Amino acid sequence: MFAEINYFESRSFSEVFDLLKIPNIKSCIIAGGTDVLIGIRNNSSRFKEINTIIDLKNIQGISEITETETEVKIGSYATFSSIYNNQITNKYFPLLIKAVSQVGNLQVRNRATIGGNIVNCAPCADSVPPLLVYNANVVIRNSESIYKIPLSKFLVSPYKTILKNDEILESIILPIPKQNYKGSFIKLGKRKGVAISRLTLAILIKQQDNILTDISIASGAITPIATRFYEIENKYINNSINDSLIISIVTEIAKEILNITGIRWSYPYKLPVFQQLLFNEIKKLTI
Amino acid sequence: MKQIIKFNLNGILTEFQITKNKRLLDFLRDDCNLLSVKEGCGIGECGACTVLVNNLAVNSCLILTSQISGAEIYTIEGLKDIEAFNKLQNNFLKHGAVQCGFCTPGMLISAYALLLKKSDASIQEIKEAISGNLCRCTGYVPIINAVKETIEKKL
Repeated sequence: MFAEINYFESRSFSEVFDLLKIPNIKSCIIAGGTDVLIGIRNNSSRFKEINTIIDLKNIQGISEITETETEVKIGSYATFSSIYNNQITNKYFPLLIKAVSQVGNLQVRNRATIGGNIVNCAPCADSVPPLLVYNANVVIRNSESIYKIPLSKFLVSPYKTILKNDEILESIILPIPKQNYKGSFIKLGKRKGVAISRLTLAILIKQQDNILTDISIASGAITPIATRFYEIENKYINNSINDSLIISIVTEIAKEILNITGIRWSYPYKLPVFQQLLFNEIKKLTI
Repeated sequence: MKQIIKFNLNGILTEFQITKNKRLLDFLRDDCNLLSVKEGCGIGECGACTVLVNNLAVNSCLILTSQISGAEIYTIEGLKDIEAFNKLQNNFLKHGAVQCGFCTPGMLISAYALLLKKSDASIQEIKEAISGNLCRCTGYVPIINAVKETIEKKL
């Protein structure tokens, strides 16, 4: 299981890229490794051929959280605990803070990282819906270049991202939200703690008088990958807020979820619960 | 594979040559004979294998031995001469916070990690600190009281 797996701690990106060029290396880059270790032990098909684990924890700055005037950079190796305890993230991203505070248990949060959560790309990844409503971009590095793309385009399907074998998710960039936004993050699990999300919901709303001037909605664990509903959001911006508007938004999003996923066994429970939650939260935020 | 790892184990600088990788949990039990570290679920949910890594409570079932090079690891065997930890242990006994005992080492580590982080933790914070440690005997109340008394007596 683990006995045959080689382990490398790299101190620089160039070292990693050299390593990745060696023939016969089937590698997996890990951060905290909390998902990968379980996957390897379970003989998960995703990790079956892995013979090398690469750890980048010693690369300078890879777990740091920094801010400029316009954006915050979270290193992909930042653990959920460090994000939870960090002043910068607490100042700007309350929904992310709420989400990371509910991942697994304290022991897991002390090891598990935001980069790992994103790259693992589980449908129920708790950090992803808040990152989507905060318009997160991810910074990807390969041996030739560094590029930045929106998180929504990074995620492809369950457990699959656009990241190639010779690429590394280096950091997550979040634009600093403008003021006067209200937000909400909800996680439904089977228990209060140590529970895998059955449903997550992140909402950011801005209103002026009775007009909805901006809205962002993302859901997790109800579609194959966490989803942001851009088109529906845009359609309802600049309308006056009332119950029938909220019902229209909720109904269209539920329809969109069915379009994306088709009917699943869990939907007789999940869909009505999701709709009611979404309605309640928008209502609460727009009072 | 061959890897030499250097780390601090229970206060002693330690060097190991690893030829076969394994989980930190298995390494501590099988190679270091630290049997306080228990395997419960093996998937990071029960907390029986909790150890301190750089003063943070973590599940040793979710860490590869190779990952700990350069770290400072404590199991309860290494904390036995520390006064605050002794008080915590005594309060566990006093409050009946130990029944079958299987969760106790992990529970103690989680509680001790809280004491390290915060000297005046509230009941809510105590509950959160041990929320990753399952106990099927006590119903948690005696454990929470034991940690609470340790905190109050210190203040």
